[in-house]
Amino acid sequence: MDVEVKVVILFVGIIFVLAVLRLLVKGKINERNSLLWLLGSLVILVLSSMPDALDVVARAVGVHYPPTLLFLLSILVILFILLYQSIQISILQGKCNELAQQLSILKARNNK
Amino acid sequence: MDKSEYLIIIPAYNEEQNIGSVLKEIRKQENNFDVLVVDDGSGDRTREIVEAAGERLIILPFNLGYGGALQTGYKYASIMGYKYVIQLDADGQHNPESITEIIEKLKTGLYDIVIGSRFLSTQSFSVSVFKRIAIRMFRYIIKISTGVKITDPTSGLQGLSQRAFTYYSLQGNYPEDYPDTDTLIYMILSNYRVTEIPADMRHRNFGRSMHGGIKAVYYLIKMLVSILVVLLRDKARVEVDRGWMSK
Repeated sequence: MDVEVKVVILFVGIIFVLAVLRLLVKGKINERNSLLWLLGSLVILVLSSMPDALDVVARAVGVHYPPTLLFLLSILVILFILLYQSIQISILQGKCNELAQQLSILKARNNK
Repeated sequence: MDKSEYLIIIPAYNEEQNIGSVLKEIRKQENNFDVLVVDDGSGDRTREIVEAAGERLIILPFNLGYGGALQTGYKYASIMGYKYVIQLDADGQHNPESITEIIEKLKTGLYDIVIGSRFLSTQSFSVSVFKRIAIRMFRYIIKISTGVKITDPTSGLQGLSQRAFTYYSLQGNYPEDYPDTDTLIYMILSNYRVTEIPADMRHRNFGRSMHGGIKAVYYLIKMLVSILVVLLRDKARVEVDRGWMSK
């Protein structure tokens, strides 16, 4: 893998981890949701800082150009996070509906 | 207000042009029942008209969708201890005279869900080609998955027993947008007794119908997915039930 590519990936990964940590400290994301992002960015960091490992794994699974393996892994992590978020949104939607319904019924009964 | 055993639930979303006449027509019926309008976050004068008519009104803080509004009505009926629920649409397409017939059917105690079917009625009702194909398909799916013949699974005119609406009222037991074929299949497979009566229907007085255009395609696909989910879920549920019985 080219040195330039490695440096860029490393740099992006570090910024990403810092951004998530900052959001956590400021209370704009809760721990539960941040874990996935931290984990994902850590995987990218580790892989880009250990190019030999990436090369070995890439060769083992038959990928000729190791950085593509990195991209593949990144996309898989993103897909997983997106799915997880869709699940969370569905759960929230259900709870939100329930709250709206209960609230409106209580209001109607209070007004009588 | 004296409480009746019957609650008419009317979900309404921006129906200021229709709701007034619908309420008036309903009150012409002889039976003693309460009427509840669930205003699904309308931006027009729907709620003022309902208030002026002196009927029960629940106002949702934002638009939940047809199913979400209906479920609110079921929750209310369940909390207030009604014995039966009759639901009809706010757009005036259902003839309130059907209410009496549905009540008669429910009172026999033989049925949990009574559907007003426009296809059993002698009156000819023009339906778009797309809708006709969709309904025929849904009928067929219900028939092969449950063995029960339902001619009008998409009908919004229904009567429900306490057992049925109490089940529907719980979180997660009723779809938010368009409940029909999937819900019916699930209920039939769960041993709720479903029947149909002939019901005349009219075209909407004003405004646009819920099902039309690109939404109809979305609706059809969503319904097929929902049916698949119901069939898969039912299998899992039956297995769980058996496990419980063997203990």
